[in-house]
Amino acid sequence: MPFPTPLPGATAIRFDDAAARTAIAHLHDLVRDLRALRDGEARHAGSARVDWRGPSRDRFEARRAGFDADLDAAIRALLRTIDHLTAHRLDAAARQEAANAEERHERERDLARLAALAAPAA
Amino acid sequence: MSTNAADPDRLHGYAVGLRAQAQRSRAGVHPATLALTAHNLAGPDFAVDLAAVRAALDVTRTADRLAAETDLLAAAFVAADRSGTRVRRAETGVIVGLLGAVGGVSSPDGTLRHAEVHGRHVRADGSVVTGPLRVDAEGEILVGTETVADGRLGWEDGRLTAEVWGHAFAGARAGASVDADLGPAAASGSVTAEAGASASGRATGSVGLDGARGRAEADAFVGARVTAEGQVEAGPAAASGEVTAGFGLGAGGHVDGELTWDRISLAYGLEAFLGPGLGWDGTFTVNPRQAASIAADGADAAWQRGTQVLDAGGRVAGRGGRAVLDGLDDAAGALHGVLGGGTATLRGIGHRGPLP
Repeated sequence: MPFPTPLPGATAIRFDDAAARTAIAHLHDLVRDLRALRDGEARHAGSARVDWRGPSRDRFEARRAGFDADLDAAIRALLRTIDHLTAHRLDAAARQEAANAEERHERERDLARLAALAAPAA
Repeated sequence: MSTNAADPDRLHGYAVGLRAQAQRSRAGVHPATLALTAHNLAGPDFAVDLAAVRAALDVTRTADRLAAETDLLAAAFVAADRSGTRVRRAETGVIVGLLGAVGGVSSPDGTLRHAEVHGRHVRADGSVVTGPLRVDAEGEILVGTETVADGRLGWEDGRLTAEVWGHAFAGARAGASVDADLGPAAASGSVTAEAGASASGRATGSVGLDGARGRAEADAFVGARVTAEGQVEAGPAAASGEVTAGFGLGAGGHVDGELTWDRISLAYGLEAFLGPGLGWDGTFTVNPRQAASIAADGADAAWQRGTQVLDAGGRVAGRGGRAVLDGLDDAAGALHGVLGGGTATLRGIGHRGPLP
């Protein structure tokens, strides 16, 4: 959804939507890469541990589990940041819409007032 | 078929893939950081925390560490393969023949409990039950090399303790042991035959407020030898013994030391044999209530013989040892009637025993 353009005379909300969209896009790319890292790691691990038993395998799995936990936590943090940015963007857009609507209302009221003034003369 | 060792090539492939994926992910961290910074500069009232991006960067570094550790693990498995300690296990009955050789476990009543193949190392154990008799048997064959090295550091009873040990073997070794239980009587025995070279060592030490104690022992052998030991228990009596016969060159010894506030002591022992060797070592025990008086007589004879030698003075230690052995021979002879068994005496050239 494009960010609403401030109407002439309306309050312009101080929000760089282009910067926000760029940041969100890069964060999405990062999440995609980290998910690929997680999936690739699991795939390669499945191949590496074929027919492998014993304490060395247990230690390996423990290290993998720690890494997976860190990876999931990082992905969740990035998704929260994306949600945060998106919410602010929607909030800014809504506030800009509200400012534009108020400007439109002002304009309509002025037009109505002008029309009322012009009617007796006619 | 399963193994307790991973394929080093697959582990290395895992590390390579992980490192590449981490590199790709890390490449995306920088643009995301720049974009978020630009966003925060453009609208300070909507500043976004960069913690998530830093966490992403950290996790790519964790991936690098995991890849490095996995490479090390792969290298360790390669080294283990070269030293012959890679372990493969076979849970099937592929070596039932070995079980039959070591304890008749292949009989219809026998049970194959476990069988495994460690590269060039075969091990199996099982049991057989026939009426009141139960026999547990296990055997192993090793052809190739075997290396073990380990150590520990701990705290026991207010003392700092340390222990290191190691063992190396190259050649062929076969061993079997049997435990038999027949109601009131039980017997156990084992036999080990080996040809090749082996070396082992162990050192222990402890330090406490009362002083320090330590022990070091080592054994080395080149050649071939057979060692058999057994123990029989029936009612109040028990007998055990060990016989070693072999041809080769061997040496072993130990040193014990103690340093305390009121005593400094050092004890040592050394044994060696060259060429054909025969050693014997055994213990006899019996119900003390039945044999106390007989054993006392025998022990007294041994003590008298030993003190006579010491009193004479200037005798070499070997002669003194011989006299004491003769005295012990008397004691063993006195117990002969109780145990109904025989005695043995050290004989032979290069026998395994104390050096003069």
